[in-house]
Amino acid sequence: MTSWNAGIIRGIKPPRGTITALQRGMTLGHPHDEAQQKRVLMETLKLLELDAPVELVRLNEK
Amino acid sequence: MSSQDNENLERWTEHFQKGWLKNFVDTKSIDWKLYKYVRNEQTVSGKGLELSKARLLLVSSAGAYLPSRDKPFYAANLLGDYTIRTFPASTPFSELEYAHDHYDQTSVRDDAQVLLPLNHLRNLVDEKVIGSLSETVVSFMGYQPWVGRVMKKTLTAIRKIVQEEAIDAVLLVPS
Repeated sequence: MTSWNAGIIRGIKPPRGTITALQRGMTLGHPHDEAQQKRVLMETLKLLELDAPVELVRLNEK
Repeated sequence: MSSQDNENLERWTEHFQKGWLKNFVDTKSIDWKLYKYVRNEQTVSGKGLELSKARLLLVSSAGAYLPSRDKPFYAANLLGDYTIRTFPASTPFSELEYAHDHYDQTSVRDDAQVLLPLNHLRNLVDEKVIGSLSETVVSFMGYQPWVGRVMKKTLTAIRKIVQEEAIDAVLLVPS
């Protein structure tokens, strides 16, 4: 999963996940910013290749 | 999902019923100071998989639904809506509606891929980065304060689709 809400996600402890500084309602990136949306998506998807649990990964996306 | 799903559920439910829920029943108002967010102690474990061979299911909490076929979520219900909707992954974004009162829908109505990255995922399948995409997208309305109901109703419904469609991995995109 990916989320902008680090506090709640840390409590839930998903097996794999990324955290961004994006905003509620635009979890994958800004509207029409396809490059950002793809970056967040790929960084999140590639965690599936790792054995879980994986430490949450903070992405520099806002 | 494993038994770790409900590691603290009894304790959480007791707190919820005596605090947040009792206040709601007594006053018909919400007091988030009485709400305790889930704090799991363990993380579910599992083997990694080969993404290029994996069948992926997109699960979204954006409250998206297909108005030509399904009823909207009960977005105004302060106790939440624990049902799911499904729609084909090939659905044009213009045919979707959103029933969720707890986030600003401006961005998703401008560009659905901020919450429903279906075009990106299809491209990744074409590029052989992902094995395949489930024919079904699962959607729910992500205002669900009653965790026990999430586990018994929402997760049970999602788990059924995971089994029926032989899903290898789920991508959850909260709104």
